[in-house]
Amino acid sequence: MMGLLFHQLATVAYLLAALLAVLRVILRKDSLGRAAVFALGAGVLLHTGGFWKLHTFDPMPSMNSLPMALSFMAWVGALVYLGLLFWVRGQGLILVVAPAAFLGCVSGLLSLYAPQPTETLHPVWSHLHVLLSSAGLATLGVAAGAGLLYIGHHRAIKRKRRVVRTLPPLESLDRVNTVGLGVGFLLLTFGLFTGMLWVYATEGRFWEASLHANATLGAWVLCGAATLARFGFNVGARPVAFLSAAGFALLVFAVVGAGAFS
Amino acid sequence: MNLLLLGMSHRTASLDLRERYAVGDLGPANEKLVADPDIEECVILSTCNRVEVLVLTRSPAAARLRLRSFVEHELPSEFQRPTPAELEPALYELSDAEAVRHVFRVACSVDSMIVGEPQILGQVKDAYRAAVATGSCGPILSRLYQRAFSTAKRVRNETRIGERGVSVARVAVDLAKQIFESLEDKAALLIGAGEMIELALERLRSSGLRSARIANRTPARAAALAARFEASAHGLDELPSLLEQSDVVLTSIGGDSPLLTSQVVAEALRDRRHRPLFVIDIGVPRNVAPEVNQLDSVYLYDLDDLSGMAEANADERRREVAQAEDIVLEEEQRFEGWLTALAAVPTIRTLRARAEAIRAAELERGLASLEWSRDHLDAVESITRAIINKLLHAPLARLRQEVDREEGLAHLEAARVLFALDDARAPGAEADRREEDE
Repeated sequence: MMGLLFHQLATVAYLLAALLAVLRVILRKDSLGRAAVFALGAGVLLHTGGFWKLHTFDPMPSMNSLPMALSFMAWVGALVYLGLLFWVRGQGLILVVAPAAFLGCVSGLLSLYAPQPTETLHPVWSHLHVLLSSAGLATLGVAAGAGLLYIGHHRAIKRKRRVVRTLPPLESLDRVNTVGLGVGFLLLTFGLFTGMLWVYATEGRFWEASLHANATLGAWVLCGAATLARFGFNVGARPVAFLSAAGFALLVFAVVGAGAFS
Repeated sequence: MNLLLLGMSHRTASLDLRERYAVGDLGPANEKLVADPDIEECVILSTCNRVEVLVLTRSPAAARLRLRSFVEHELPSEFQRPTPAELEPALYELSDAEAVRHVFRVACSVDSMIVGEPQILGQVKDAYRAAVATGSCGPILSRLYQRAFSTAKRVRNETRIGERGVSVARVAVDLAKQIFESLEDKAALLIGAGEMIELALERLRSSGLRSARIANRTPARAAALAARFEASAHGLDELPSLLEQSDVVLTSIGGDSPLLTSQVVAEALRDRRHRPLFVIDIGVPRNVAPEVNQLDSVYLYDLDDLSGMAEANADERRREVAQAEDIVLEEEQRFEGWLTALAAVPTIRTLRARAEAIRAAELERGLASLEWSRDHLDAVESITRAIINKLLHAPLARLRQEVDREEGLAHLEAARVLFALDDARAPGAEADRREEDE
């Protein structure tokens, strides 16, 4: 079962990256930060292998299920972060990305021990919706993580407190937040659109007034406002960081929490 | 072999006295000192905060006298020689383990005026290089200094002794690095043309800042400073447009009322699309209204803020000293172990030579009356050699092991007494003389 093995190894690599990231903050050694990024990169490669071998499972696990969607989000989030590292000095952000990637991967891994076939109508729309929304959520997650770190770091500098020197500079955090927000919002919009088409194909209407759909729409509005503020009106970094974090929180509620309430 | 260190530092000597010992070229001084028959090796360190002479000698008493005379009469220039009354209370003298520890502490910047400052390591390296170049630094002091450099590296890596800046300029640059990714693509605006502005500009330039503009009430002074630092000079009337184009603003200019008010900065922020602006106000009275810090994308630090941070950083460095001292102690013991092991080499060599001499003499005497074939003689030769080797193997191995420990020297002494290695009449002693001749 290569698929399972790849997922297990990816989980271990993500965990290692998270531990190294924490150790880097405690011991203040840049070499640990580099090792954490390397471990995260190895995790992404193994995770890719895991997805590649999903078809070998019987029954084949559905990407529509929440655990697999979370695993996919972890993969996209880590990939987006690694891509951004080529462009910004954001090594310190791994403190947020690696643990999130680990948790997402664990959730996917647990579901792989007893994969359940999910029968859905119109599987093309449903898969497009889940994959695009998950990718959007992961990218917005990276943006929100950077945004929250920005807010904390900004406050520490403003109030003349001791700053955590292992954190990326404000400019890097703002850049990650802005790019993540732009790309994430675009993916989320496609995810929302394909979700509407899926609902239309199954129920004959474009909108189901469920808590999941309404909360997602609310998150889309918040993220849209943040994107517009940043790209259209050149609003400062801090309000945009707040908005992106709030949008992401609502999106997480829409995906994970709405099921519990409805 | 003994180590002897004589010197003065900022802790013991006034600046006036230290100034008289500013040695430009250390080469001739090193040569002069090592030419003395009582001094095997020497290294002279001369910085603005300390002058120290470290020597390796076989006769400590004679070397001590020579060192005193050298520091009193030959090291300072002819017309600046201090009187003994001036010099005596300023001098400190350390020997052997204490001297080793002191060299390590100095290289690690634990003994510096500003604990953790990085310049001292470079100065110690320069002193070592000068001594090597003149041939006054031999294998023992070379090993000592190499160990001092690696100790300094360990202290840098394993403690936070040099992590945070303790000068206002360094704190400001460190803060700028927390705000901006790089200073290379940023522009600085310096308001004023005084000494503080000059120092800050130097620091910013060394941190990678490329573009700088200097604004001053007297444009001629701004132009003079700008010419030296490849910056552009402006008048104060251009401030609004300069603010818009700058990412770091540093002010230190006279005046009763704040030059940069909240309104002026807010307008500039709007034009610069809320990109962050780092404002450092080191003017007294302040040049920037404190309300400016309430603007969202502005980070305003005045002299009190920066001094407070510098002081807190200095406290943190002092707290790190204990950890650095532990590393120094560990490395000092390692070096002492090496030095002791070095002392064991002659003992081991003498013991082997004595045993071999006895074996050869006894064999020669015993075999003189026998007419054995070459094969038999070879066999007896190798058997007796094997016996000697086996007998000596355990004590010599133990001796090598023990010299790394504290009681190692005592074991060495015991070996010398038990085997009568210092007795010229003992059997096999002629081997020592042969070895010395060789």
